[in-house]
Amino acid sequence: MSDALSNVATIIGSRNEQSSEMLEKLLAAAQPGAVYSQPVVQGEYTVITASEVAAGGGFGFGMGIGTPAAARPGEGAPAQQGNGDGGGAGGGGGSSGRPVAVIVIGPTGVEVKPVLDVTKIGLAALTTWGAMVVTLRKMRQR
Amino acid sequence: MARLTPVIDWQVTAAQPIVVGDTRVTLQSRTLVVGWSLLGVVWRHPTAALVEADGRVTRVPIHNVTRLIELGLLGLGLVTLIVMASIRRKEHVS
Repeated sequence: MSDALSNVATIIGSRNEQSSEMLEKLLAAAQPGAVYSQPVVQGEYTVITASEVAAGGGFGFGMGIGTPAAARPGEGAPAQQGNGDGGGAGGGGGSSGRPVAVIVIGPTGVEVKPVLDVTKIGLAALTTWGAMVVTLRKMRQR
Repeated sequence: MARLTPVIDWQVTAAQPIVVGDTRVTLQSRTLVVGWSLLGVVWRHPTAALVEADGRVTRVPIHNVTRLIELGLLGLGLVTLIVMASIRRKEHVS
């Protein structure tokens, strides 16, 4: 039993370390270089894209230890076979990025031009309008 | 080993300066790191460009206009609902 427990502890320890390493790698996706693009030079103008980046993830694991074989009193052979042990691990994560602005360095100076996500704005407007309509209808019904 | 205590880190970092002619541009970004046990989230966004030209340093902020509009719409919706609810309550009372 103590051997099984020490095995479980070893496996959990190694899984823990592997998961931590994987998590560190995932979080490295949002490194500083991901926010600003490499400068693109065209004539007198240098253009840099600024993006916002988000990344996240999580991991988990579980282990189970079985029971030893139980013998009936007076009988040599075990009445019930012992159960084994098992375990599993899993994880998931993702990252996303979206351009926020374009920085233009030219002869007249530095300009920051915002990048508008019309789809996001449209969805937000529709959601707000829908929520307002539903709430106002419920208020009138009372 | 995994972290057992939650970690929340909020820091501002500056990228390598870009030199174009007499202009030197340093790009800044802000990072929020939230980690706990085997879970972690990183959010990094641009904040400003520091422009050094003619011996002067100017800070040009970088705004996420899409998010500002989204928040504005949310605020407008909430304010409208609160106003409508207060008008209806007054009508019921009178």
